[in-house]
Amino acid sequence: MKVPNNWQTNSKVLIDHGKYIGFITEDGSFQVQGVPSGSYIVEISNTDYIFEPVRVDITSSGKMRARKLNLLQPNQVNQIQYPLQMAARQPTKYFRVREEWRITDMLMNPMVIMLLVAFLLMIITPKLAAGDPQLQKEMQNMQMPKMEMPDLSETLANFFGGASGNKKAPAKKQAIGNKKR
Amino acid sequence: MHYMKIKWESLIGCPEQLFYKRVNGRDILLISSKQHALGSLDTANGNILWRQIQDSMEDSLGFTYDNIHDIVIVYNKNYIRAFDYSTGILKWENFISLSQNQRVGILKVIKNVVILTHGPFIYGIKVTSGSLLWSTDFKDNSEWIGVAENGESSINLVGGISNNKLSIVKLSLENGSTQNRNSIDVEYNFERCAASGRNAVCLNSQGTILAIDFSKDKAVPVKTVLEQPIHIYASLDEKYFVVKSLSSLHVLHVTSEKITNILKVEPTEVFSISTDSSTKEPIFMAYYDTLGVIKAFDLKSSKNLLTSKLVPERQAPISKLEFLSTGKTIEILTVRRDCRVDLHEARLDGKEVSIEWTRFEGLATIASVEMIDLPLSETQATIETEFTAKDAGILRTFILRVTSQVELFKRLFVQFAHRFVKSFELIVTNQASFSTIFRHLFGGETPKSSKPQRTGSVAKPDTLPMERDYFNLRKMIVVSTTSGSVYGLHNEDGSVIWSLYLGDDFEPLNDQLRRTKVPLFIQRGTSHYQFSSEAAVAFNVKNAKSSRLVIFNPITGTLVNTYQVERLKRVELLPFTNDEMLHPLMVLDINNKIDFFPSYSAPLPYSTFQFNFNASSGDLYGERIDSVTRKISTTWKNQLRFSKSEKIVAVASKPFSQTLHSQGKVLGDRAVLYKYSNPSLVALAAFDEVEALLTIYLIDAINGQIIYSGRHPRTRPPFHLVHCENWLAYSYWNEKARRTEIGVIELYEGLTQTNAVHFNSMTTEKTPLTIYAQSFIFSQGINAMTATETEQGLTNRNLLIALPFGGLLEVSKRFVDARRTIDLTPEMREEMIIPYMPELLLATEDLINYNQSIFNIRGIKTAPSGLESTSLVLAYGIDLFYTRVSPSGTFDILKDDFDYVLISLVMVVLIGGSFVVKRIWRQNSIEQAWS
Repeated sequence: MKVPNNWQTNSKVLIDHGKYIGFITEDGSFQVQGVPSGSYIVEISNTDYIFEPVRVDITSSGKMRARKLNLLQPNQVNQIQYPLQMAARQPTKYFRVREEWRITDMLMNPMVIMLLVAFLLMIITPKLAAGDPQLQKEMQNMQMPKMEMPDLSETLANFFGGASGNKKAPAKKQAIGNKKR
Repeated sequence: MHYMKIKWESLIGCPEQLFYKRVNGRDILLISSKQHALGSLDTANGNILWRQIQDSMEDSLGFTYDNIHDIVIVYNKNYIRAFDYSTGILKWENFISLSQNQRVGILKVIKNVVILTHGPFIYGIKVTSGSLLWSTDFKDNSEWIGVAENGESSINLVGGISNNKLSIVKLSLENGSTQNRNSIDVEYNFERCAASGRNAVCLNSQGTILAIDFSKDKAVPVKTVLEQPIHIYASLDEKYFVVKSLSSLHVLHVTSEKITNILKVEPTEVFSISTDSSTKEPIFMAYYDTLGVIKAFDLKSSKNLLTSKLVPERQAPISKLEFLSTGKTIEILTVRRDCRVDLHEARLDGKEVSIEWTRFEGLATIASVEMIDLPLSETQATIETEFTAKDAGILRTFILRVTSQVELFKRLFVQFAHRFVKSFELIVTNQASFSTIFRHLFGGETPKSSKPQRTGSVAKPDTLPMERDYFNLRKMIVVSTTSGSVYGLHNEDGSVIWSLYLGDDFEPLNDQLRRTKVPLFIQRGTSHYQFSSEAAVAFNVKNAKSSRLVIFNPITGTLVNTYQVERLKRVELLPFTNDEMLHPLMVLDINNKIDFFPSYSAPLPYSTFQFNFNASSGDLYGERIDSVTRKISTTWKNQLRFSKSEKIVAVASKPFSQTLHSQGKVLGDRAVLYKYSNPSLVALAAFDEVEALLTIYLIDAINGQIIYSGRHPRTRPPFHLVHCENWLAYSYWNEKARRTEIGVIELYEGLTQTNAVHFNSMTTEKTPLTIYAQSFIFSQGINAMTATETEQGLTNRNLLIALPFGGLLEVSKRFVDARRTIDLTPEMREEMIIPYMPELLLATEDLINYNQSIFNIRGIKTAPSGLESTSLVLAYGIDLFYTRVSPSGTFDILKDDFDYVLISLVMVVLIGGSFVVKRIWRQNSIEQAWS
């Protein structure tokens, strides 16, 4: 892990969320003095890294022990070594990764895959059929229902070309088209 | 969730002790503050190099700098700590429990030993490790004023035991044993003595001044006579002492042979002595507040080096002065009564003084915050004027209409031309990205060309247009502080636009819960363009049985009016306006007399009640205000029957401006669960210190009915309440499980609503209230807690929690929901209620201040903006933090990273493409026709 500059100045030891404060020396050690007996939460305040908080119990005779902090079951004892040794668990993440648009994400979408496969089949089947004359014949015999599809380019042209002046053009085209057929 | 601008500033706090000196070619500026912080500042620009916040004790923080080891030694009541000067890293600390009633006398480093005196105790601490070498207890009530080294291995202390004796003690530096004790039996009160270096100077009431070199074993005092001396001050330079007499200020030069009076000037409280770092000549500097003038004298020749006015004028008087002279220039550091810190630079040849930088450290003591809309821009005001002509004829209205339209068009054109020129400039100088420039051209925010200003510095006048922006995100933040000034901050960069000093006799108010307060009220906002905005601040007058109301313009900071009133018991803003659109201030003084500012004698438009309580007895009162008879009459009385150790610790009511948009929640089965939206519901938290019992009450302030009460045994402070709409969230420390918990109570009327138009406290509800209560474990401590605020109340409210480790957390209200249960019904699941989990998870991604940690936060202020989705947030404490949050996402504006370039490119390509396609088609059709 990258150690930030001057981390000792920018870190602090908080006992019971700031009731007592400990500072960190050059070599990374710390001590908090003048704490009466009781049970305390010891945590490290640092902007770059997350540290695991610890519970420290001090008996009235001055004996100390440290255990894992368990807020849900405060009586559970899971002893850890004392004097404390605290290590950074992980760098603090402040930002959620923004969702990016990636071409692979789109291509891996099941709907897109289905469409692509269908498209591929559409291209490949006639070519396969071309190699086999029998199949071609069969296909020609197949009666496909004919449907009048509205021509997209025509509609667009109508739209952009305006209403009055160009009225003749589509009529002409239709006539030509009929002749050809 | 998406956050935009973030502004953050760390402060040190109101300076308590200053150290400003050039040591080994470095300018060192150290400040210890009343907010328990120690900081080192960069003298070039006033930025903080490092800051260490110490434990919050009642006692003040004292420190000394040791140039041999390059450390700063700090002491408080319980500890002594040494920090490395250049990095701020702790070198060592030692726990020394000092007794309560005695103060620290001296802290000085001699050879390798830190000498700390505290009443009769003297401690010798090793300067390299912090270990206690020795401690000596004189077991009498002696107090020490000076220490000096005497030979190789001993020190001499000077001070007093009883009033009329000055005593010199020789101690061994190695083990602290008393080697010699001398008492000079002279008629001097040691409290009128001062010591610096090896000299101690005392004065008596007859006017005799005695100086003694106490570092010698056999000291011979020298004497002189001065007329009516009142006080003596030691300077950092051991040879010079300043004596204040009734009519003048004398600078004495003290040697072991004689005392010479080398300078006599007009009396003042603020002065300093320092040695020039290049010529090594001592210089004396004094400040005169009545003229605002600073004077510097060369102490060798008694020549006046400099007499100059300090800018800016009409500010709080200067209370502390330190300076650093370097031959041609003098750097003058001043601290004003309202904690403003300035560094001035004076040139001795040109005799002019200019400000290098300014820090408003008073902002560390913010008491109340209000965010005010900026005034309407000229364009908006023109539109408004169009509608002012009432009862005008058709023709006149028509002319008005046309002229205003022409005017608007002209403005728009001029504005666009301006923007165009600016955009062109930006493109040429290549200062901002193309996308920002593009946005700016079409009415976006002006990109900042210069680097942003430091928060808490004086605003540059030309950079900030003082008018409302389109989304009303630009606001004026008005803050009142307990250090005596009111400030106007710009919310875009946090710079101080104006400051208003409330006077030397300023004293904050104390409320029933014994908290210091300086209430701030916005009497008239900026929505009435024909009137200027007005705000009021209330405070006590020091050493007098009166209080003062100061009325000012919150946009410009100019004083409008001042009212002197009897000592305040209560001051409240009334929820309606008078003829001039001002909300009158109601003032209740200690004689139970009520008064209105501005005066209001007509009957109130609707019955107005106030809620009152006695914090220790638990008596509650409902009172009705009568503006005609100027009396308040008790309408109801209730008792909470407190035990002796129980008292009210927190109160939370709802502001009258708070809006509740939706009256209910739609359940999974399409029924509506109506919220209990009583606007006069008050939440009380009472705490029994002996039993450690916390009781939460919800009380209707109109009829005194206790709607809800709940108990939490074995709890401890701190307690925080957030009361909003139909819910109350509160936090406490659970002593049994040793963790922080957040409780939440939600009130519902049930599936039928009693009165859909108005809430009425005087009628009963159709069905008994449905009350949900739940509590959650919170893994952190809580410094402050509040809820977000938006214009219509349509957006969800999120909780904002300031955490001790420096984070500002946004918790969605969906998690702090009292209706969360473990076994959800399918209807509840459809309503998207989250199943109950005992712990509220704390994700670092929800920290809205990211890595800009903020410490010792005392409060968070939220305010609505012109955008319904966005709430403005200011967290204040020893750090200031400002941001915008959008609890339900920014549903009403485009995303911040919206790609204007791509969108416009696509548009251009589409239009161009369609024309090309049209041409191609025409050619094709002609070709087809010919074929």
